[in-house]
Amino acid sequence: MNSQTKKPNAGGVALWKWLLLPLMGSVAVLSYTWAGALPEFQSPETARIIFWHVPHAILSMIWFFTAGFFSLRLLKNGDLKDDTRAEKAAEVGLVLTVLATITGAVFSKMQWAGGLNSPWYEGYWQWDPKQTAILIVILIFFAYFGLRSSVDEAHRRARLCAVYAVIGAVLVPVLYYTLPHLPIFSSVHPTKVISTREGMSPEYRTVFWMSTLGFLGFSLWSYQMQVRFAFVAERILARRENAGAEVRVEAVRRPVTES
Amino acid sequence: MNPELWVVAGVSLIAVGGLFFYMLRLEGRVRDLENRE
Repeated sequence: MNSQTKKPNAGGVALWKWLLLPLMGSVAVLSYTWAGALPEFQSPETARIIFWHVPHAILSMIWFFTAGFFSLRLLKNGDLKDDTRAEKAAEVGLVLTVLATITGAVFSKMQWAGGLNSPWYEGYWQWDPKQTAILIVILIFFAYFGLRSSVDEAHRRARLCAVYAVIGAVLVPVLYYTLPHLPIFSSVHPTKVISTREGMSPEYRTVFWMSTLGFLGFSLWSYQMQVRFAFVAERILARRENAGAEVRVEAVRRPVTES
Repeated sequence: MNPELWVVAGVSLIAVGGLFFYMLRLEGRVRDLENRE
């Protein structure tokens, strides 16, 4: 876009972004005050990690689906902007997956390994099917970024990575939900905590969905910032390349015009 | 309520506030860059 005709973006921060502060502030306070301990857990007080761990896992899957969606769109229309959108969605998904793994490791120690009664270095990793599955998802999407950095030509990179991201997005729900529930694997992960009415008290359920909504907002905000920054950077680079090309053309023309 | 839980709630509140103001700063920087372009 022509910089002379472009209007400066003087608008304030959108209302939904401001609402994230009271929403997540409420989650931080209510999760320790209003939502009590869950007696059916081995360590009832630390069951509150659910408010941080489960939303990260759910949202990571949503962001990988988003990456898959933009990748499919790229394969259809060839627009490189969709490649950038898919890349940034995968980045947000990967960060959330790593956070879900870290919070899950703490949860594992507190619930399945005796908590603080066990040595400080023990109990974080149980090779539970879901833990193993999330590790595979992390490796799949690390490899996605490896693939991105290994191909130089933009259109070829975009198409290759789009195919990979679509396969990755299809694999994520299989790894998260289908494989760990197969009878050949015995998972110690609690099931039906989120999906059934009996799994959580009404207070827990309210704080849980507030937290999920809040983290969705933060991840959307982060995604939006990354995409906007990437588009600005692309425009600046394209302008510089154009300016460089003009200087080179001028340097070739000059001897001709001078003679 | 257990006083330790208030401490954890306070730390969570600070973390959430920190994340929010960091995002706000990032938004400002991206907007500056878009306007300067």
